[in-house]
Amino acid sequence: MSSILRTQVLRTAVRSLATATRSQIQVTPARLTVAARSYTSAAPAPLKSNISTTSSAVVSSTKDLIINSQRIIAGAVVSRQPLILRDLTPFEKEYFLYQKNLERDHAAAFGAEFYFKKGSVAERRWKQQEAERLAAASGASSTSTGAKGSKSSKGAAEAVQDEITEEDRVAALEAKIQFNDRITDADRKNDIRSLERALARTLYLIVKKPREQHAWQFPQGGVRVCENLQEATGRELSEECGSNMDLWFVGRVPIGHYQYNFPKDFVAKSSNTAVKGAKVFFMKAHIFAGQVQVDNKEIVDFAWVTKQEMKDYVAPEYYDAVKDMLSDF
Amino acid sequence: MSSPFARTALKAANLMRAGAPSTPKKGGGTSLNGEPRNDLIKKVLFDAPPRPPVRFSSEDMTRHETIERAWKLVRQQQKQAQEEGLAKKFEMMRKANAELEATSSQLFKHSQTKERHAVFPRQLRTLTDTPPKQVWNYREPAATPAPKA
Repeated sequence: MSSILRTQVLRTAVRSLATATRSQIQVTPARLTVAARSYTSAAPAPLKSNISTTSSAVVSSTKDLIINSQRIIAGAVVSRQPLILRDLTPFEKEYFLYQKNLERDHAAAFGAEFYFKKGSVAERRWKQQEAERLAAASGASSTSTGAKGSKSSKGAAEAVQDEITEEDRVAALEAKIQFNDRITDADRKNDIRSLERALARTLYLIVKKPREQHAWQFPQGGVRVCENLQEATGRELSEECGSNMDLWFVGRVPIGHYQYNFPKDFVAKSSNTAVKGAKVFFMKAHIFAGQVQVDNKEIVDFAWVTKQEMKDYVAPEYYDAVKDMLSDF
Repeated sequence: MSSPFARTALKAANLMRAGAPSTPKKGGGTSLNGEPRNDLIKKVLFDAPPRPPVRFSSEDMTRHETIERAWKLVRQQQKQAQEEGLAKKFEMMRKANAELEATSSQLFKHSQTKERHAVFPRQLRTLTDTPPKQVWNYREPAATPAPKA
Protein backbone atom coordinates (compact mmCIF):
# COMPACT_ATOMS: atom_id res chain seq x y z
CA MET A 1 0.00 0.00 0.00
CA SER A 2 1.44 3.45 -0.85
CA SER A 3 2.27 5.86 1.94
CA ILE A 4 -0.23 8.45 0.62
CA LEU A 5 -3.05 5.93 0.75
CA ARG A 6 -1.95 4.79 4.19
CA THR A 7 -2.09 8.35 5.59
CA GLN A 8 -5.50 8.90 3.99
CA VAL A 9 -6.88 5.78 5.58
CA LEU A 10 -5.36 6.73 8.91
CA ARG A 11 -6.93 10.20 8.73
CA THR A 12 -10.42 8.86 8.02
CA ALA A 13 -10.05 6.25 10.74
CA VAL A 14 -9.01 8.87 13.29
CA ARG A 15 -11.87 11.11 12.22
CA SER A 16 -14.43 8.32 12.58
CA LEU A 17 -13.05 7.35 15.97
CA ALA A 18 -13.18 10.94 17.18
CA THR A 19 -16.84 11.38 16.23
CA ALA A 20 -18.02 8.08 17.72
CA THR A 21 -18.60 7.90 21.46
CA ARG A 22 -16.78 5.45 23.66
CA SER A 23 -19.81 3.24 24.27
CA GLN A 24 -20.36 2.67 20.57
CA ILE A 25 -17.02 1.18 19.83
CA GLN A 26 -15.51 -1.33 22.20
CA VAL A 27 -12.36 -2.12 20.34
CA THR A 28 -9.96 -4.78 21.47
CA PRO A 29 -6.55 -5.07 19.83
CA ALA A 30 -6.66 -7.30 16.79
CA ARG A 31 -5.68 -10.87 17.56
CA LEU A 32 -2.87 -12.37 15.57
CA THR A 33 -4.33 -15.28 13.68
CA VAL A 34 -1.02 -16.84 12.68
CA ALA A 35 -0.26 -18.41 16.01
CA ALA A 36 -1.89 -21.31 17.82
CA ARG A 37 -3.30 -23.42 15.01
CA SER A 38 -2.81 -27.14 15.22
CA TYR A 39 -2.22 -28.98 11.97
CA THR A 40 -1.94 -32.57 13.10
CA SER A 41 -4.95 -34.74 12.38
CA ALA A 42 -5.19 -36.06 15.93
CA ALA A 43 -4.92 -32.65 17.55
CA PRO A 44 -6.53 -32.52 20.96
CA ALA A 45 -6.49 -28.70 21.15
CA PRO A 46 -9.85 -26.93 20.71
CA LEU A 47 -10.56 -25.49 17.27
CA LYS A 48 -9.71 -21.80 16.97
CA SER A 49 -11.17 -19.84 14.10
CA ASN A 50 -10.43 -16.27 13.07
CA ILE A 51 -13.38 -14.67 14.85
CA SER A 52 -12.69 -11.22 16.27
CA THR A 53 -14.47 -10.25 19.45
CA THR A 54 -15.92 -6.88 20.35
CA SER A 55 -17.66 -7.89 23.54
CA SER A 56 -15.64 -6.86 26.55
CA ALA A 57 -15.55 -9.01 29.68
CA VAL A 58 -17.62 -6.52 31.65
CA VAL A 59 -20.58 -6.04 29.31
CA SER A 60 -21.94 -9.36 28.09
CA SER A 61 -25.58 -10.28 27.87
CA THR A 62 -27.68 -12.92 26.21
CA LYS A 63 -30.33 -10.41 25.17
CA ASP A 64 -31.38 -10.58 21.53
CA LEU A 65 -30.64 -7.60 19.36
CA ILE A 66 -33.89 -6.11 18.08
CA ILE A 67 -33.99 -2.99 15.92
CA ASN A 68 -37.26 -1.46 14.63
CA SER A 69 -39.26 -4.53 15.72
CA GLN A 70 -37.02 -6.78 13.64
CA ARG A 71 -34.75 -9.40 15.10
CA ILE A 72 -31.20 -9.24 13.76
CA ILE A 73 -30.05 -12.71 12.83
CA ALA A 74 -26.63 -13.89 11.67
CA GLY A 75 -26.64 -16.70 9.11
CA ALA A 76 -23.68 -18.83 8.00
CA VAL A 77 -22.88 -19.81 4.42
CA VAL A 78 -20.31 -22.52 5.16
CA SER A 79 -18.68 -23.82 2.00
CA ARG A 80 -16.37 -26.71 1.32
CA GLN A 81 -14.23 -25.56 -1.58
CA PRO A 82 -13.43 -27.97 -4.43
CA LEU A 83 -10.51 -30.33 -3.78
CA ILE A 84 -9.75 -31.32 -7.38
CA LEU A 85 -9.77 -29.64 -10.79
CA ARG A 86 -13.01 -29.80 -12.72
CA ASP A 87 -13.58 -32.32 -15.51
CA LEU A 88 -12.78 -31.10 -18.99
CA THR A 89 -15.63 -30.64 -21.44
CA PRO A 90 -15.47 -32.85 -24.57
CA PHE A 91 -14.52 -29.84 -26.69
CA GLU A 92 -11.69 -28.93 -24.32
CA LYS A 93 -10.35 -32.50 -24.46
CA GLU A 94 -10.45 -32.54 -28.25
CA TYR A 95 -8.83 -29.13 -28.51
CA PHE A 96 -5.96 -30.03 -26.18
CA LEU A 97 -5.39 -33.27 -28.11
CA TYR A 98 -5.37 -31.34 -31.38
CA GLN A 99 -2.84 -28.82 -30.04
CA LYS A 100 -0.65 -31.61 -28.66
CA ASN A 101 -0.52 -33.39 -32.02
CA LEU A 102 0.14 -30.11 -33.83
CA GLU A 103 3.08 -29.38 -31.53
CA ARG A 104 4.45 -32.87 -32.00
CA ASP A 105 4.18 -32.71 -35.77
CA HIS A 106 5.90 -29.37 -36.06
CA ALA A 107 8.41 -29.70 -33.25
CA ALA A 108 12.16 -29.43 -33.76
CA ALA A 109 14.24 -32.58 -34.12
CA PHE A 110 14.65 -34.69 -31.00
CA GLY A 111 17.96 -36.53 -30.81
CA ALA A 112 16.96 -39.75 -29.03
CA GLU A 113 20.47 -41.13 -29.63
CA PHE A 114 21.86 -38.23 -27.63
CA TYR A 115 19.47 -38.29 -24.68
CA PHE A 116 19.07 -42.05 -24.22
CA LYS A 117 22.00 -44.33 -23.48
CA LYS A 118 22.33 -47.06 -26.12
CA GLY A 119 20.77 -50.33 -25.01
CA SER A 120 19.23 -48.87 -21.82
CA VAL A 121 15.74 -49.68 -20.58
CA ALA A 122 14.71 -46.03 -20.98
CA GLU A 123 15.72 -46.12 -24.65
CA ARG A 124 13.76 -49.31 -25.19
CA ARG A 125 10.69 -47.79 -23.54
CA TRP A 126 11.02 -44.65 -25.66
CA LYS A 127 11.25 -46.69 -28.88
CA GLN A 128 8.24 -48.74 -27.83
CA GLN A 129 6.19 -45.60 -27.11
CA GLU A 130 7.21 -44.06 -30.45
CA ALA A 131 6.31 -47.23 -32.32
CA GLU A 132 2.91 -47.28 -30.62
CA ARG A 133 2.37 -43.63 -31.45
CA LEU A 134 3.27 -44.16 -35.11
CA ALA A 135 1.04 -47.21 -35.29
CA ALA A 136 -1.87 -45.28 -33.78
CA ALA A 137 -1.33 -42.38 -36.17
CA SER A 138 -0.95 -44.55 -39.26
CA GLY A 139 -3.78 -46.88 -38.18
CA ALA A 140 -6.12 -43.91 -37.81
CA SER A 141 -5.22 -42.43 -41.18
CA SER A 142 -5.22 -45.53 -43.40
CA THR A 143 -6.28 -49.17 -43.00
CA SER A 144 -3.80 -50.62 -45.51
CA THR A 145 -0.76 -49.95 -43.34
CA GLY A 146 -2.43 -51.84 -40.48
CA ALA A 147 -1.64 -55.20 -42.06
CA LYS A 148 2.01 -54.24 -42.63
CA GLY A 149 2.32 -53.10 -39.02
CA SER A 150 1.16 -56.48 -37.67
CA LYS A 151 3.68 -58.40 -39.81
CA SER A 152 6.64 -56.34 -38.59
CA SER A 153 5.53 -56.67 -34.96
CA LYS A 154 5.48 -60.51 -35.19
CA GLY A 155 9.13 -60.53 -36.27
CA ALA A 156 10.12 -58.31 -33.38
CA ALA A 157 8.14 -60.37 -30.82
CA GLU A 158 11.02 -62.77 -30.14
CA ALA A 159 13.49 -59.93 -29.55
CA VAL A 160 11.00 -58.27 -27.22
CA GLN A 161 10.76 -61.36 -24.97
CA ASP A 162 14.51 -61.24 -24.20
CA GLU A 163 14.17 -57.64 -23.12
CA ILE A 164 11.16 -58.26 -20.89
CA THR A 165 13.20 -59.79 -18.07
CA GLU A 166 15.44 -56.72 -18.00
CA GLU A 167 12.32 -54.53 -17.96
CA ASP A 168 10.86 -56.48 -15.06
CA ARG A 169 14.06 -56.07 -13.08
CA VAL A 170 14.08 -52.32 -13.54
CA ALA A 171 10.32 -52.03 -12.99
CA ALA A 172 10.66 -53.85 -9.67
CA LEU A 173 13.16 -51.24 -8.48
CA GLU A 174 10.98 -48.30 -9.44
CA ALA A 175 8.28 -46.97 -7.14
CA LYS A 176 4.81 -47.16 -8.61
CA ILE A 177 2.77 -43.96 -8.37
CA GLN A 178 -0.79 -44.64 -7.27
CA PHE A 179 -3.36 -42.05 -8.22
CA ASN A 180 -6.53 -41.87 -6.18
CA ASP A 181 -9.96 -42.00 -7.72
CA ARG A 182 -11.67 -38.72 -8.55
CA ILE A 183 -15.04 -40.33 -7.88
CA THR A 184 -15.21 -41.39 -4.25
CA ASP A 185 -17.45 -43.88 -2.42
CA ALA A 186 -19.58 -40.97 -1.28
CA ASP A 187 -20.30 -40.14 -4.93
CA ARG A 188 -21.34 -43.71 -5.69
CA LYS A 189 -23.57 -43.99 -2.62
CA ASN A 190 -24.78 -40.39 -3.11
CA ASP A 191 -24.19 -39.72 0.59
CA ILE A 192 -25.53 -36.19 0.99
CA ARG A 193 -23.93 -35.71 4.42
CA SER A 194 -20.44 -36.63 3.27
CA LEU A 195 -17.76 -34.00 2.65
CA GLU A 196 -15.99 -36.33 0.20
CA ARG A 197 -18.75 -36.10 -2.37
CA ALA A 198 -18.47 -34.06 -5.58
CA LEU A 199 -14.81 -33.20 -5.08
CA ALA A 200 -14.71 -30.86 -8.09
CA ARG A 201 -17.67 -28.78 -6.87
CA THR A 202 -18.31 -26.30 -4.06
CA LEU A 203 -20.53 -27.76 -1.34
CA TYR A 204 -22.68 -25.63 0.97
CA LEU A 205 -24.04 -26.57 4.39
CA ILE A 206 -27.80 -26.57 4.89
CA VAL A 207 -29.52 -27.72 8.07
CA LYS A 208 -32.99 -29.07 8.73
CA LYS A 209 -35.19 -27.59 11.44
CA PRO A 210 -37.87 -29.74 13.11
CA ARG A 211 -40.82 -28.21 11.29
CA GLU A 212 -42.88 -28.77 8.17
CA GLN A 213 -42.62 -25.49 6.28
CA HIS A 214 -39.22 -24.02 5.36
CA ALA A 215 -37.39 -26.83 7.09
CA TRP A 216 -34.09 -26.63 5.17
CA GLN A 217 -32.01 -23.43 5.35
CA PHE A 218 -28.55 -22.12 6.15
CA PRO A 219 -27.67 -22.32 9.84
CA GLN A 220 -28.63 -19.07 11.56
CA GLY A 221 -29.30 -17.59 14.96
CA GLY A 222 -30.08 -14.31 16.69
CA VAL A 223 -27.34 -11.75 17.25
CA ARG A 224 -27.05 -10.68 20.87
CA VAL A 225 -26.53 -7.17 22.17
CA CYS A 226 -22.79 -6.34 22.44
CA GLU A 227 -21.92 -8.94 19.81
CA ASN A 228 -20.78 -8.54 16.23
CA LEU A 229 -21.98 -10.54 13.22
CA GLN A 230 -18.89 -12.74 12.94
CA GLU A 231 -19.04 -13.63 16.65
CA ALA A 232 -22.74 -14.38 16.48
CA THR A 233 -22.29 -16.65 13.46
CA GLY A 234 -19.47 -18.55 15.13
CA ARG A 235 -21.46 -19.00 18.32
CA GLU A 236 -24.58 -20.17 16.48
CA LEU A 237 -22.59 -22.65 14.41
CA SER A 238 -20.91 -24.16 17.46
CA GLU A 239 -24.29 -24.38 19.25
CA GLU A 240 -26.24 -25.89 16.36
CA CYS A 241 -23.60 -27.82 14.43
CA GLY A 242 -21.13 -28.80 17.12
CA SER A 243 -17.56 -27.68 17.65
CA ASN A 244 -15.92 -30.35 15.48
CA MET A 245 -15.50 -28.05 12.49
CA ASP A 246 -12.32 -26.26 11.46
CA LEU A 247 -13.82 -23.02 10.12
CA TRP A 248 -12.30 -19.89 8.65
CA PHE A 249 -14.45 -16.79 8.26
CA VAL A 250 -13.90 -14.81 5.08
CA GLY A 251 -13.61 -11.34 6.58
CA ARG A 252 -16.20 -9.44 8.57
CA VAL A 253 -18.34 -8.26 5.68
CA PRO A 254 -21.75 -9.90 5.21
CA ILE A 255 -22.25 -11.39 1.75
CA GLY A 256 -26.03 -11.18 1.59
CA HIS A 257 -29.18 -10.51 3.52
CA TYR A 258 -32.74 -11.82 3.71
CA GLN A 259 -35.75 -10.24 5.32
CA TYR A 260 -38.94 -11.96 6.36
CA ASN A 261 -41.96 -11.33 8.57
CA PHE A 262 -43.14 -13.82 11.16
CA PRO A 263 -46.57 -15.35 10.60
CA LYS A 264 -49.24 -13.60 12.71
CA ASP A 265 -50.00 -16.57 14.93
CA PHE A 266 -46.30 -16.93 15.76
CA VAL A 267 -46.12 -13.27 16.79
CA ALA A 268 -49.18 -13.67 19.03
CA LYS A 269 -47.76 -16.79 20.70
CA SER A 270 -44.20 -15.49 21.19
CA SER A 271 -43.06 -13.85 24.41
CA ASN A 272 -42.06 -10.60 22.76
CA THR A 273 -44.99 -9.42 20.63
CA ALA A 274 -43.12 -6.30 19.58
CA VAL A 275 -40.98 -8.36 17.21
CA LYS A 276 -42.73 -8.61 13.85
CA GLY A 277 -40.03 -10.04 11.63
CA ALA A 278 -36.35 -10.78 11.14
CA LYS A 279 -33.39 -9.63 9.11
CA VAL A 280 -30.75 -12.24 8.37
CA PHE A 281 -27.20 -11.20 7.44
CA PHE A 282 -25.16 -14.01 5.95
CA MET A 283 -21.48 -14.45 6.78
CA LYS A 284 -19.18 -16.53 4.62
CA ALA A 285 -16.96 -19.27 6.04
CA HIS A 286 -14.83 -22.13 4.72
CA ILE A 287 -14.59 -25.54 6.36
CA PHE A 288 -11.21 -27.26 6.22
CA ALA A 289 -11.76 -30.28 8.45
CA GLY A 290 -14.32 -31.90 10.70
CA GLN A 291 -18.02 -32.53 10.32
CA VAL A 292 -21.38 -31.28 11.57
CA GLN A 293 -22.80 -32.78 14.75
CA VAL A 294 -26.53 -32.12 15.06
CA ASP A 295 -27.80 -31.09 18.49
CA ASN A 296 -31.26 -32.57 17.79
CA LYS A 297 -32.84 -29.56 19.46
CA GLU A 298 -32.63 -26.71 16.98
CA ILE A 299 -31.56 -28.81 13.99
CA VAL A 300 -32.26 -32.47 13.28
CA ASP A 301 -30.41 -33.09 10.02
CA PHE A 302 -27.82 -31.55 7.72
CA ALA A 303 -26.58 -31.84 4.14
CA TRP A 304 -23.65 -30.65 2.06
CA VAL A 305 -25.11 -29.74 -1.31
CA THR A 306 -24.07 -27.96 -4.50
CA LYS A 307 -25.85 -24.80 -5.66
CA GLN A 308 -27.99 -26.77 -8.13
CA GLU A 309 -28.94 -29.46 -5.60
CA MET A 310 -30.02 -26.88 -3.05
CA LYS A 311 -33.12 -26.16 -5.12
CA ASP A 312 -34.52 -29.58 -4.12
CA TYR A 313 -34.15 -28.84 -0.41
CA VAL A 314 -34.86 -25.20 0.44
CA ALA A 315 -38.06 -23.25 -0.18
CA PRO A 316 -38.28 -21.59 -3.63
CA GLU A 317 -38.41 -17.99 -2.36
CA TYR A 318 -35.48 -18.66 -0.02
CA TYR A 319 -33.46 -20.14 -2.91
CA ASP A 320 -34.20 -17.12 -5.10
CA ALA A 321 -33.05 -14.82 -2.31
CA VAL A 322 -29.76 -16.63 -1.62
CA LYS A 323 -28.71 -18.20 -4.93
CA ASP A 324 -26.69 -15.18 -6.11
CA MET A 325 -24.35 -15.51 -3.12
CA LEU A 326 -23.30 -18.99 -4.19
CA SER A 327 -20.73 -20.21 -6.71
CA ASP A 328 -22.03 -21.96 -9.81
CA PHE A 329 -19.11 -24.29 -9.71
CA MET B 1 4.13 -41.23 -47.21
CA SER B 2 6.42 -40.99 -44.22
CA SER B 3 5.13 -39.01 -41.26
CA PRO B 4 6.68 -35.65 -40.40
CA PHE B 5 8.09 -37.24 -37.25
CA ALA B 6 10.09 -39.83 -39.18
CA ARG B 7 11.66 -37.01 -41.19
CA THR B 8 12.69 -35.06 -38.09
CA ALA B 9 14.10 -38.22 -36.47
CA LEU B 10 16.36 -38.75 -39.49
CA LYS B 11 17.53 -35.14 -39.28
CA ALA B 12 18.40 -35.63 -35.61
CA ALA B 13 20.41 -38.79 -36.36
CA ASN B 14 22.33 -36.97 -39.07
CA LEU B 15 23.10 -34.14 -36.71
CA MET B 16 24.43 -36.64 -34.17
CA ARG B 17 26.77 -38.28 -36.70
CA ALA B 18 27.92 -34.94 -38.04
CA GLY B 19 28.71 -33.67 -34.55
CA ALA B 20 31.91 -35.67 -34.40
CA PRO B 21 35.41 -34.27 -33.74
CA SER B 22 35.79 -32.73 -37.24
CA THR B 23 33.87 -29.55 -36.27
CA PRO B 24 35.90 -26.48 -35.14
CA LYS B 25 35.96 -25.76 -31.41
CA LYS B 26 33.88 -22.87 -30.12
CA GLY B 27 35.27 -19.92 -28.15
CA GLY B 28 38.69 -21.41 -27.56
CA GLY B 29 37.31 -24.83 -26.62
CA THR B 30 36.82 -26.38 -23.20
CA SER B 31 39.80 -27.69 -21.35
CA LEU B 32 37.82 -30.14 -19.20
CA ASN B 33 38.10 -33.92 -19.45
CA GLY B 34 36.04 -35.32 -22.30
CA GLU B 35 36.41 -32.32 -24.61
CA PRO B 36 34.66 -33.74 -27.66
CA ARG B 37 31.68 -34.67 -25.49
CA ASN B 38 31.25 -31.10 -24.23
CA ASP B 39 31.43 -29.76 -27.77
CA LEU B 40 28.85 -32.30 -28.82
CA ILE B 41 26.56 -31.26 -25.97
CA LYS B 42 26.95 -27.61 -26.91
CA LYS B 43 26.26 -28.39 -30.54
CA VAL B 44 23.11 -30.37 -29.77
CA LEU B 45 21.80 -27.71 -27.38
CA PHE B 46 22.72 -24.52 -29.19
CA ASP B 47 23.49 -25.38 -32.81
CA ALA B 48 20.42 -27.52 -33.34
CA PRO B 49 18.58 -26.82 -36.60
CA PRO B 50 15.77 -24.29 -36.20
CA ARG B 51 12.17 -25.39 -36.06
CA PRO B 52 10.82 -26.02 -39.56
CA PRO B 53 8.18 -23.49 -40.63
CA VAL B 54 4.60 -24.64 -40.23
CA ARG B 55 3.12 -25.47 -43.64
CA PHE B 56 -0.65 -25.75 -43.90
CA SER B 57 -2.65 -26.52 -47.00
CA SER B 58 -5.56 -24.12 -47.58
CA GLU B 59 -7.98 -26.79 -46.41
CA ASP B 60 -5.94 -27.40 -43.24
CA MET B 61 -5.66 -23.66 -42.70
CA THR B 62 -9.41 -23.04 -42.77
CA ARG B 63 -9.91 -26.01 -40.47
CA HIS B 64 -7.26 -24.69 -38.05
CA GLU B 65 -8.74 -21.21 -38.08
CA THR B 66 -12.23 -22.54 -37.41
CA ILE B 67 -10.95 -24.56 -34.46
CA GLU B 68 -9.13 -21.56 -33.03
CA ARG B 69 -12.20 -19.32 -33.45
CA ALA B 70 -14.42 -21.88 -31.74
CA TRP B 71 -11.95 -22.15 -28.85
CA LYS B 72 -11.77 -18.39 -28.40
CA LEU B 73 -15.56 -18.20 -28.45
CA VAL B 74 -15.90 -20.90 -25.80
CA ARG B 75 -13.28 -19.23 -23.59
CA GLN B 76 -15.06 -15.88 -24.00
CA GLN B 77 -18.37 -17.45 -22.94
CA GLN B 78 -16.75 -19.09 -19.91
CA LYS B 79 -15.16 -15.80 -18.81
CA GLN B 80 -18.44 -13.98 -19.37
CA ALA B 81 -20.28 -16.46 -17.18
CA GLN B 82 -17.60 -16.10 -14.48
CA GLU B 83 -17.83 -12.33 -14.56
CA GLU B 84 -21.62 -12.44 -14.34
CA GLY B 85 -21.43 -14.73 -11.31
CA LEU B 86 -18.98 -12.40 -9.60
CA ALA B 87 -21.09 -9.34 -10.42
CA LYS B 88 -24.16 -11.00 -8.85
CA LYS B 89 -22.18 -11.87 -5.72
CA PHE B 90 -20.87 -8.35 -5.42
CA GLU B 91 -24.34 -6.88 -5.83
CA MET B 92 -25.67 -9.12 -3.05
CA MET B 93 -22.78 -8.05 -0.81
CA ARG B 94 -23.33 -4.36 -1.59
CA LYS B 95 -27.06 -4.56 -0.82
CA ALA B 96 -26.39 -6.42 2.42
CA ASN B 97 -23.89 -3.80 3.53
CA ALA B 98 -26.26 -0.96 2.63
CA GLU B 99 -28.97 -2.68 4.66
CA LEU B 100 -26.58 -3.20 7.58
CA GLU B 101 -25.55 0.46 7.53
CA ALA B 102 -29.21 1.47 7.69
CA THR B 103 -29.89 -1.07 10.45
CA SER B 104 -27.10 -0.74 12.97
CA SER B 105 -24.16 1.63 12.85
CA GLN B 106 -22.22 -0.40 15.42
CA LEU B 107 -22.49 -3.66 13.48
CA PHE B 108 -21.74 -1.82 10.28
CA LYS B 109 -18.60 -0.18 11.68
CA HIS B 110 -17.29 -3.54 12.85
CA SER B 111 -17.97 -5.11 9.48
CA GLN B 112 -16.13 -2.37 7.61
CA THR B 113 -13.00 -2.32 9.75
CA LYS B 114 -10.55 -4.84 8.41
CA GLU B 115 -8.60 -7.11 10.70
CA ARG B 116 -5.12 -5.69 10.93
CA HIS B 117 -3.06 -8.86 10.79
CA ALA B 118 -5.38 -11.01 8.74
CA VAL B 119 -3.73 -13.84 6.85
CA PHE B 120 -5.00 -16.47 4.48
CA PRO B 121 -5.38 -19.88 6.07
CA ARG B 122 -2.69 -22.41 5.22
CA GLN B 123 -5.36 -25.05 4.70
CA LEU B 124 -6.56 -23.44 1.49
CA ARG B 125 -5.67 -26.29 -0.83
CA THR B 126 -4.29 -25.97 -4.33
CA LEU B 127 -6.49 -27.86 -6.75
CA THR B 128 -5.00 -31.05 -8.13
CA ASP B 129 -6.06 -33.63 -10.70
CA THR B 130 -6.64 -36.33 -8.11
CA PRO B 131 -7.51 -36.15 -4.41
CA PRO B 132 -5.07 -36.94 -1.57
CA LYS B 133 -4.92 -40.32 0.19
CA GLN B 134 -7.03 -39.03 3.07
CA VAL B 135 -9.69 -37.16 1.18
CA TRP B 136 -11.26 -35.45 4.20
CA ASN B 137 -10.19 -35.24 7.81
CA TYR B 138 -13.32 -35.93 9.86
CA ARG B 139 -11.51 -35.04 13.06
CA GLU B 140 -13.32 -36.19 16.17
CA PRO B 141 -13.42 -33.98 19.26
CA ALA B 142 -10.94 -35.04 21.93
CA ALA B 143 -12.40 -37.03 24.80
CA THR B 144 -12.51 -35.00 28.00
CA PRO B 145 -9.52 -36.04 30.13
CA ALA B 146 -10.29 -37.91 33.35
CA PRO B 147 -10.05 -35.59 36.35
CA LYS B 148 -6.85 -36.15 38.28
CA ALA B 149 -7.64 -36.95 41.88
